[in-house]
Parts: sequence; C-alpha cells; structure tokens
Amino acid sequence: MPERQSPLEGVLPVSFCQGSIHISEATPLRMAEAQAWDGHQRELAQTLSHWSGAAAVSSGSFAEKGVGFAQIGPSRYFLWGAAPPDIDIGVGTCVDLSHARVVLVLTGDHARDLLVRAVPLDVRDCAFDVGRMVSTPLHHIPVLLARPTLTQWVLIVPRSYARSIVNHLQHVSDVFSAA
Amino acid sequence: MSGFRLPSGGQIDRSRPMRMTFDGQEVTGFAGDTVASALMASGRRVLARSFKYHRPRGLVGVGVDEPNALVEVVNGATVDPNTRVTTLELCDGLVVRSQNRWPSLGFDLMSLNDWVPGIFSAGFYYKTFMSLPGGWMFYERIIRRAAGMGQAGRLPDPARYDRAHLYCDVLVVGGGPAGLTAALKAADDGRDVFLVEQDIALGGQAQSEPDAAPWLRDVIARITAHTGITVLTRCTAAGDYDDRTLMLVERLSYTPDKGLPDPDAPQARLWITRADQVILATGAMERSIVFAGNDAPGVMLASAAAGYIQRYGVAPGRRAVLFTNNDSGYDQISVLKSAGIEIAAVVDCRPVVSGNCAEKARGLWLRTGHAVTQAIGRHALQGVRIGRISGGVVQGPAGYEACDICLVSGGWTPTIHLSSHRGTRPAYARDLQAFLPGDMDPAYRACGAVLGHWRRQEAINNALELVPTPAKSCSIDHMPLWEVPAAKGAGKAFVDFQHDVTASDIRLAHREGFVSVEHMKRYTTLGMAGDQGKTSNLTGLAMMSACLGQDLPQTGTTTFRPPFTPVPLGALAGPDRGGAHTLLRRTPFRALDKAAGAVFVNLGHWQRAWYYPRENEDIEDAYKREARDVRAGVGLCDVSTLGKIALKGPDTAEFLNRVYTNGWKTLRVGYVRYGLMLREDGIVMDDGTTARLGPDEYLMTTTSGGAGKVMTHLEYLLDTQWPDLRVHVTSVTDQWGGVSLAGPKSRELLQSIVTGSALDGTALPHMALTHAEIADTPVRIYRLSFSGELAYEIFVPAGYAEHVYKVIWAAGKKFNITRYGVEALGTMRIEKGHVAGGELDGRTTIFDLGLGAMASSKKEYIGSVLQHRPGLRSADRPTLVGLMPVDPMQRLTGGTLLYSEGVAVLGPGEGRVTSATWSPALNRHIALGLLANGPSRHGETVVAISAVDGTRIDVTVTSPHFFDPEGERQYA
Repeated sequence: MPERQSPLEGVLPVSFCQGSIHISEATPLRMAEAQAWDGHQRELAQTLSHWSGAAAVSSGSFAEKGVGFAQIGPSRYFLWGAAPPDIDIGVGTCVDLSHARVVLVLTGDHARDLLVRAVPLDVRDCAFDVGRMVSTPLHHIPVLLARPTLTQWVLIVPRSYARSIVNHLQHVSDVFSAA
Repeated sequence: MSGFRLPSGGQIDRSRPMRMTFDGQEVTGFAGDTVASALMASGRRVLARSFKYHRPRGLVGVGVDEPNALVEVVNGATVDPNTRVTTLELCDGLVVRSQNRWPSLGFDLMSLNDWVPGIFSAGFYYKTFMSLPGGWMFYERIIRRAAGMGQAGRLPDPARYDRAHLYCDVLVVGGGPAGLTAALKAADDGRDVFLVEQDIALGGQAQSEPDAAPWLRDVIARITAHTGITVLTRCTAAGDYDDRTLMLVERLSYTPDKGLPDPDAPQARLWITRADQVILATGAMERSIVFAGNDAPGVMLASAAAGYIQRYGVAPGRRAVLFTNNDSGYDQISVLKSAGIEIAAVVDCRPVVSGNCAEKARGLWLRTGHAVTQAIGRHALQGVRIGRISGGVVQGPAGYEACDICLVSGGWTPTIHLSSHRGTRPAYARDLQAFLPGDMDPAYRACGAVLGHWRRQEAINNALELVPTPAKSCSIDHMPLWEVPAAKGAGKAFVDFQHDVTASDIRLAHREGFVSVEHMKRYTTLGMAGDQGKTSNLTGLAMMSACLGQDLPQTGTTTFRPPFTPVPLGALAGPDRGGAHTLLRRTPFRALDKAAGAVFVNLGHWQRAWYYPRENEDIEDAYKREARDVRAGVGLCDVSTLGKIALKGPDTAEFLNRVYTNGWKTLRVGYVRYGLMLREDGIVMDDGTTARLGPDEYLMTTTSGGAGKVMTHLEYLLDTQWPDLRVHVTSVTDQWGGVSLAGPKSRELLQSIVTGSALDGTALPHMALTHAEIADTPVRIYRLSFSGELAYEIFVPAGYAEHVYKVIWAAGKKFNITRYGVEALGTMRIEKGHVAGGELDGRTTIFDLGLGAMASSKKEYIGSVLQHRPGLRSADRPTLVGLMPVDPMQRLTGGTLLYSEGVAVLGPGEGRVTSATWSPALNRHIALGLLANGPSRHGETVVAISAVDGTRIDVTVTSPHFFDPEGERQYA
C-alpha cells in the first residue's frame, strides 16, 4: 500500500493571529459512521462501548480510550481510532469514512475567538466542556467540533473542503486580529 | 444667530482638538464630539436638504432619532451616504459632505420643487405619470435621477467586517438608567451579562440631566468593575429574530481614538447573539408637535437641546422659545439657563400647569393655553408665531416672538421596535398616549421608559422589580396635542421630516380612501424612510385617527421591522466576501491537474479541470483535440466530483425501488444500473448509476451538482416517509477519488496495470464492476461510459488517489494517453445524446427525455402518480431531439428558442436548445434540444432564434444520438 496523502500537505501546520492560533493535522485515523436500526440503538451502543473500551455516550459528547465514538444523530455514531467493529446487520451497519475526513487540531490563546467566528455554537466553558463533540456547519459546510482537552479543539472536516476551510479560518483570523 | 461652543462643560476632551471638513470647509471640534455637535458649534444651521422639496434642514435630535441631518462620509474613493451626523463621531481627517442638493447646500436649484403648489403631494407620481403619454416606464428614468437622498458609492465597499457569535445568560439592550440597573442586578445574581448601548457612552437620557451625574458615575464604575458584565458601546441591537437571536452591529471605526477606518481592520462587527434572557431597556424618544414651518433650521426637540449642552458643551442658539404639552419640557429650562440661553417664552398648550412647572418657569414669560402656530425663517429660524389654542383650535390672531431656536416637547414615544420585530403587536396605553411592548415571550423583559416609566428613579425602580410592569399612569402631566392647525398660507407642516410627509398628505390620503394605517403608510410613505418614522409615526397615526374619528388603538400601528437603524450590507456579509464567499472543493487530483496546466472552472463548489491547453491552444483547440484523442485512443478524466452515496441495510433494494423509476430488486451483486429519480411532482430530479457491492450494500452516484439535493431527498424519505426501512445512507463523495478511463485503448491500458481481476468483455461486461488492485492499491472498477466509448470508472480511496493516477498516466504514455476536462466530456456526451444539466433543468419529465421505457408500470415510486398529470403527458410537450444546423459551421447556443418555419416568432416558441457544441467526431456543430412533438419531427427543418441577439439559424431535427447510435464502441 502506498503512503496515504493528506490534502493539506504543505499547508499545515500553520500559525496565525500573531502566533496565538495554531492549526495542525492529526495523524490520519480510521474513521467510520455507524447506524442502528430502529429499536436497536442500545445494542449498537453496547457494541461500540465494548469496541472502544469506554462507557456509552449521550448525544453531544464522546468517549475515548485510544479509540472513540460520539453520537452525532438519532441512532447514528461517528467512530475513530481503529477499524470499526463488526456490526450485526440485524442491529445496524457501518460505513468507512477514513479517507473522507481530515482532522484539524486548533490550539492557542485565541483559538476560541476564532471558533466563535467560525461556528454558530456556544463554546464557552460552561456550554462546551471537555469531552463534548457536536455536528455543526462551518461556513455552510457540515463539520464535527470536539474538545478533547481544555486547550485543544478538534475540527473533523470533509476532505474536499479541508484546504478551503483552513484558508477560511486564516482569513477570518486576519480580520478579527486586525481590530 | 446660531449655535456656539460653551466655554466649559460637556463630556468632550477639550485638550484633544479634532479637524474635519464639511463640504470642503474645515470644521474643528474636540474628542467626544459628534459631527452634529461640531457643526453646531461651528455655527452652521443648514446641514441638509429635504427629500422631495429640498427645503433647508437643520438638526432636530441629538441621537439615533435624527431625521434631517444625513450626510455622505467620504473615505478615499468610497462614499457612505445617508449617515446621521448625530451618531457619527468626530475624528481627525474626517471628510463629510452634504447630499441631495445641486449645486450646493446653500443654493439648491431643486428647491424649486417647494415653490410649485400641489407638486409632490401624496400619490403625485401615480396620479400624474401613470396617465401621461409614454407612461411610467418613460418618466421613471427621469424621476429616479432626481429621487433619493445620498448617492451610493459605485465601487465595491473596501471595508472589512468581522462577524461573531455571542452567547450569554442575559442580554440587556439599552444603557440608560433602567438598563444599567437591570444589568447590575442580573450580574449580581451570578448571570453572565452583556450590556449593549448604541451610543458612545452609557447613561441614555441621564447624560443630559445635570442632577444625574453623580448617580451615573457611580453606576458606571460599578458596572465597569463587575466581572459578570461585558459592555459594548457603539453597538446597536438592530434586529430580533426567533429563539432570542438578536443582531448586534458594533461600530469599530470613526472614533476619536481609532480615527478613520484602517483598511486592514474591520469597520464593524456583527454579533449574532443568543441569550437565555433578553432585557429590553430601550428607553423612549421625545416627539415633536406638528405646526406650520416646523422644519425650519432651529426648530428642534427640547431634550436634544439639553443633550447638546450637557454632553457636548454646545448651545444650539441664543434665544429660545420652549413649546410643550407636558411637564418634561420644563426640565430643560435650567439646562438652557445654565448655557446662557435667553428663554423668550415658554409656550404650553395646557390651560393650567402644575406649581412645580410654574416654579421652574418663574421669571419667564409663561404662556399657558397657547401654542406655536408657525415658525418663521427658511434657512434659519427667525421667530415664531404664538396663538391661543383651545380644543385643538387656534383662537384669534397670533403674536410674534423673535428667537433662533424653538424647542419642542410633544411627549415621549417608547422605543418598542425590538419588541415588535418578531410580530408582537404593541399595546396602547391610553393614559401614556403611547404604544408599549405587547405580550412578549417569557424570556423577554422590558423595563424603564419603554414601559412608560419616564422619570429616572421610576425607571430604576422598575428595573429592580422581579417582573417589571408597565406604568399604570403617566408620571408626566401632559395634554394630547399632535398638531397645531395651520392658518391658510402659513406653509407646510411636516409630520415625517425624512420623507417630507406633511399633515396635508395624511388628510389627502384619508380623503382618497386610504383608511387602513398600512395603506396610508404606503401611500404617503410616512415612516418608510431610513429612520422608520422614529419621531413621526405615532404623530401620523394620531392624525389619521382624528381624520377617521376613532381612537388611536382602533386605527392601529404599523409594523416595525429590522433593522432598527440602517446596517451596512458588508456587515451582514462579514468576512465572507469576494473569494471568501464560497468554500471551494478540491478533488484529490487537483495538484496533478494543476501541474499538468489545467484551466479550472468552478462548477457549484467544485473546482474542476475544464481543459488542458497545450502550447498556443485556446479552449476551442484544446477541448476538440482532447475529444478526438479520446475517441482515437485513450483519455483520462477526473470524475471525483460525482456525488457518491453509500446505502447499506437489508431493505436497500426496496428503498431504491421506491426512489428510482426503474426496477432494482433484480440487480445482481457486481453490477451497475442506470437510474432516474423523480420529484414528487413527477419532474426528473437527478440521474446516475447505482452499483450493488454486496447483498446489502450499494453505492449510488449522482450528478456532481445534484449530490446534496439527492442526499437530502433520501434522508428525508427515510426519516419521514419510510422510517421502517432499515437503510443507512451517508455521503462518501470525499472518500473516493475517481477517474474515467475512456477510449478504444482503455482496456488494454488498464489490463497492463490491474491485478486481481480480469477485464475482458466476459469477465467485466458493460455495466458491471470489479474489485482489483493497481500498484498494490485497492480500487473499484466500473465498466460504464458517459462518452460513448469503451470506458471504465476507477474509484480509489482518496488518500491513495494521486498514486493510482500517476500509475495510470505512466502506463498510458505508450498509448498516447491524453487528459480531458469537463468541456471535452460535455462534447462527447452531447455527441452520444446523454442527458445532463441542460436537460435535467427541473422542468422535464422522464417522457420528455425519451426515457419513458424506464418508467416502470409494475410498481409505485416517488413521482409515479403525478408524472401522469395531463399537462405532463401532453403530446405537444417539448421532447428530446438532436439538432443540426443546416449550415454545419453555424454555432448554436443553449437557450436559443425553436420555431416552425414560417410561423410568427412570438412567445417562448415550440422548444429550446439545451446543450450545444462543436462535434469533433462529426466535424460540425450539433445540439440537443427539447421540441414539441420532437420524435415525430426528425428530418424537419425548424428555425432557432436567439432571444438575446436575434440570431436566426435553420436547423434540422434529428435523433439525439449523433454518434455510434448502436453503442458498438461502448459495448466493445
């Protein structure tokens, strides 16, 4: 197998806003989306808990012990970190998205200032604590936003938009940092 | 006589002089001044010309309610028109010019409008120009040149704008006494509070009250020190929307500290705000009283005069007549006296005033039971006529009193705009003579003057209540007086200054039958100017009520809509302008295409390789060569943009059967089928192929532009129509890079690099797929063709796509492989007669496209019923045909209309050209089109006429399958 290529080669890592915002790309992960059929959500959640070694999650949060998963819709989960588990077709199904998404990591003093301009979410500590993951539009593009640590934000973005999204974040930062 | 700077006082910094120009003349002021106060201090009275009559106009207000003094702000090559000087801060280098005048502010030839009797009354345009020869379409051009206020700049706005989302527990709108109190209270309760104030400073009306200063200093200090409160001044709550979402617009430039806009810095910031609770402490605005000549420069609101004195240390004049119908007018007497302004008379329409008022007016000429009946002076107020008034009627002759300012207090109008934005009807409080916020969402609270608590302490107490309640009675004694009837010949009496709506206009509207307040508003344009009638609406409504002989609440009020004050369009766009407006999508092959010299085209969000020019080639040369090379050998095209949707689950075949028009239950694993899906109304939505990858696993492709629409459609159906179906759909467009390898040598090339699968016609027949490897990389190979050639679509996990592309390209060199872009692809599909965007335009049915055989009669599917509506099955519907110009060198263009020979060229014709190209295979121009009774007209000559330039081309109707109609090449 050849080496997997990133659409952001030569672009990341990058710092802007006088070095107060830093964006890098996480190591390519296995990613997938799983769906339980009606009435089988609990079974799928148990399967995923067993697979990840973490406790089940509620909508809007994620669990991670090396591998992780988050509920991103009714009976729908986003999985990452390892090959997805086998799911009984009577319970639900799973689709590989490993090449379809790019994982951006945002850090720095003004990362939150950038996020309040990029996504229509309440990212105050009281509303977006560590361990939260939600689906949201970013300039009309659906992305996942997660907060793995107090100082780190993760954006999981569609691969074809990844470069444009990084450019957009830089453009937005340039505007507000000049104020 | 005119305004002048007081030797002391005001909240300005006299150690920091600032200079600006107004109509090219230098004006000086101080940090903390507005342009209005600086101009007033410079002695200028006339700052603008009125909308229709071009009458000289001066300042009426001190803040956001100012209707007259609008100017153009010039910054380099850009111009911001209709800017209120009362909210524009003075800063060094500011360039301002008057607007809506020619040739100059002092001498405006358009003021002739004011001298022609009857001209520009309500409905003047409709009544005059609709019936004149030539009609409105002719006169409109001339009228539009003369109409309007400031001139919008012709250049793109170079300013940058910031936009952010703001969440808080409590949003307090308004930084007056009630707002300050409410913000402190909420923050003391541990809430996260944002306090927004449109003014430069906090305090609201209290800034103009001399005795409020100690309280104001103390409360501002507490607010500034409070960690739970964030204060945004120069920030207007411009609109209120669903779910407590408010639009705040914060001005970031034109301040004494920041100066003129920095081209790199944002000029304004749009806050999209969501709050758990919203407290509206928006205060109230003083209103005027209508009388003849009430627009003369020097006639202004009494509270505004106090504002200029207290806040900016500027006196608006030297000799004043104070005209009021309520007690609050008397509050300004001490302020006027402190500025050394001589008060010639206090004119009160009430026959008797309280002892408190009488005490405030002691030593002054108090004329109770009187009214100002007329202002004298055109470019500057020279004096007023004062007459006895009783029962709203002026009694006897009026006397004259010289003055250079007439300060009017007609009562207070709560600022209820925000509370009305979401449709809450205002409630009329008869005792207050005012509309108050109606029943609001429980998450909203109003307090202070907006609830009729006019006095500062009342407003503070009200803000401290658990649930602030509206004022039960009016704390300011007043007598309703909206208009002082004008004597004949006394001149125009204005209700709406900004749109030049007079009292006569309102009565005329009534006489002509406009009894609904909404109709009256539109007929007269009352309240429809940029200020939305802040100082005029209630007065106009009251006058209409009087005409109708009914109470004001019976007449009703008009609807306030966002924005509260004008918002730059750039602020709404934020940073998403120009190239940042749309995020582009890039395929995994973009870098390779770029290196190969591709010219790209934006199709939807995608950037696609359009063509690959070689030396000295233009697009015409390039795409023709590419198409020829593909048909002669082999070509490689990036098809990653095709929408790709994974469908998995035991009920997927059934789901597809309901979505597509043709049958899907018989599709075997390893095969692909073409499908069309319809909208519920029977019109074709999209087409594409779906492959069966496993027993319960399918992969659908859609058109590049239709991917989002189809994905939404499928999710909608599964979520709402058939939730019982066990099918999971998700977009995998980005998961796979895809190339089409097309041409007679494609198999040979592919066989040289593929392992793990045979590719011959038996192992991989047309419309079959296989899983294989190319250079150790797993790939899916579909055998299908859009170009009409022997062709394969190869899909690779996106991260390995470049690697596979390079391997194919390297192997293809010995086959003279060529890259081809979407232009050549489009040419070949037209030659083949395949439908695409031009034909799938949201108007065609499956029968129109000649694909009726795909409409199964053995099952129901989305659109299966409504596609048979009589109108959609009419025999004369335009149907797919091929079109060949009689002269093969004549070029057809999409959208050209088709007519029968000898038929009058009228209307939309009998059809249209949908896609056109030069055909390298046929060496002539060809096109696809939709023509009435198309299939029965093959061989007929029709006329194609361009609706754009009238070009006329004779064309022969043919089959749409121009090239290899039997499909021998693609089935090879």
